[in-house]
Amino acid sequence: MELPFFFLFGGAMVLFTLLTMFVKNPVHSAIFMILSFASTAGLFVLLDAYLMAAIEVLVYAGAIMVLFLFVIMLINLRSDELEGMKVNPLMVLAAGTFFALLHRAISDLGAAVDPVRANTFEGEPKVVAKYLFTEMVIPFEAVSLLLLAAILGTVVLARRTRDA
Amino acid sequence: MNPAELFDIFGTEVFLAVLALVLIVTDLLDGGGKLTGASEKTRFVTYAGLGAILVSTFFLEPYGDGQFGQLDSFAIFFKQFFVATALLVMWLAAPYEVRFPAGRGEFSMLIVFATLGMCMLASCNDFATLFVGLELVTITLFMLAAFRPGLPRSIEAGIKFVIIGAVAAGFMVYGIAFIYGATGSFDFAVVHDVIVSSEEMPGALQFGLLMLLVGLGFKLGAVPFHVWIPDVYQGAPTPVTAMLSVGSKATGVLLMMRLVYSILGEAAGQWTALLMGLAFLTLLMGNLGAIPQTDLKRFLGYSGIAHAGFLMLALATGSQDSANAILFYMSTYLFANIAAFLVIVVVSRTADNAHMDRINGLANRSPFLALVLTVSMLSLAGVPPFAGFFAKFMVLRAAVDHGGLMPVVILSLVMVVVGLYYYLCVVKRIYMREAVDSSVLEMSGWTRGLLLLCVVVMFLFGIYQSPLVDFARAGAASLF
Repeated sequence: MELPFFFLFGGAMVLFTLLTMFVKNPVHSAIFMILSFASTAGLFVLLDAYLMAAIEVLVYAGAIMVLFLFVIMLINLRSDELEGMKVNPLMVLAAGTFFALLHRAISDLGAAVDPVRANTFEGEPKVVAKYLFTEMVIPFEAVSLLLLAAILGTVVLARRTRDA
Repeated sequence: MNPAELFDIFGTEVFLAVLALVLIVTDLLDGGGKLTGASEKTRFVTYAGLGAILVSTFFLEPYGDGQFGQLDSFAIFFKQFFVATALLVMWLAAPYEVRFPAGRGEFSMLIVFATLGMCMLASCNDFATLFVGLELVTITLFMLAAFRPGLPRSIEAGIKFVIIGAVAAGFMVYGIAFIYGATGSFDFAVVHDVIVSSEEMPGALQFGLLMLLVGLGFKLGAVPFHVWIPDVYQGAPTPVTAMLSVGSKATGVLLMMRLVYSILGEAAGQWTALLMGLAFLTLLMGNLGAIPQTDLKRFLGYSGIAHAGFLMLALATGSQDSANAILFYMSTYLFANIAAFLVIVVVSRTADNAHMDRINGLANRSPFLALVLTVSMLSLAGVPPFAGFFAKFMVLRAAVDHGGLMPVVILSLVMVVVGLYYYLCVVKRIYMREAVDSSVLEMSGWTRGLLLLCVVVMFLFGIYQSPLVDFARAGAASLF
């Protein structure tokens, strides 16, 4: 039963991502990116990772894309300045190499892990929260310091200064 | 969870976090509501705090591997290194700070936050902490690189650093996901067990480690992940460049050493050829790139790439001798670079670039500065009797003794000679050229003191190396 949905969401994700890259208008790009994120959220639901699916929609499709749209609006491109992505041979070579490496990685996943294990979390917020506050408490606290440093730095950089 | 264990391992980080918070309050009270903020009190708190924390690191007891992190002699060595670097950078920044019209207090705080991230990396034993710690360092440095928003070059440095840094971080976190997928754990020890127990590493794990190498190569400044270095070094405020060239590079070195010696461990042999290849390219790129440079900071950027090449060469051989050599090398590199950047700060006091013309005829304007810069260049070039010579000697001997690939070793010897050429070109400017501008260079007693300290260290550990060698050996001992 899962397989058709996997192909539905996976196919949609690939399609929308390609459209994000190749359409000319950046606003259209941003909209396609939202759709791509939504398809990814669908894949997370298929993996029973409900919290991840919700976060994907709320944070990526919601908050981050609003920022993208703001930036596009502030840059205020004229219609004759719009151009889609141009492909050059070097990009194809780099992407091809990366794809070859990735193919090799995915075809040899190793025997160390039972794929079912991923589902033991069942994607409930409670389980994730417990993990964050016990095993991951050091990185979790460090993120709060990172955010504080980021706020401080942003305020300094954004402030109008007399530096010439 | 045991709070005592957390404090035993992450005590230095807790002190640094408290220092940063105290700085925020001090700066706020001291500024009296003015945006520019008088920084005397803030500066005093920074020096006193960092000094006290540096002293405290010498009382750290190795704790071993805990649930949340590890504190071995290697971690302690690097915590001392990072706090000392921060203290020296703040000391170096004192004559530069007048050029930050606003945010002098914030400058100290961001340096403390970056140091906190670096110390966390020294103690991390899982990939989640590694990633967050690395981001704490990198994101703080992004902002510091753009810390003079009035200068287009500084903004350019910040933006280039952000874009390339974000791509490198993206590759790295992708790789960490693959490592987790192949081993089922973030823990270094578990990943090590999987690598050693399997006859051939699973493809997913190899891919993950390779992507991790991209992120670490970015920090270290190894080719082909070095492209950001020249522009960012040139554009960033000079104290920040000093922090990038020593502290940030050392985080790359530290994590590469953990990766090669601890995580790969006995399987490190599989990576020798790869690391040797990267070392080859890095040596070539750094040394040849440095020759045509006319900006001192850009020049030191390329010189930093060249030094990363020597460090990679030592890493690739994966022996205990090479680990000792790397720690020794980093210690001498710290003092040589701080001295060079401090001279740049003094010489280009009011100007916003560091063109090489500024040091023309420095010997007539200030014999003391000329001497300091000469000693620093000779130490970086690896000329006896300065400490840099012995560092290069240790690296090359470790590479020869432990089966370094001969073509790479020979290339590194050729590159030592090339390095000698471009470092001596700088010395030639100091003594042989006419000064473009012959105004008097003013220095405070503190600045003089720091310059003197660097020269004494470079000279002393050049002729009497054994204390520093023993210190480095004690630091590297816990890796094996």
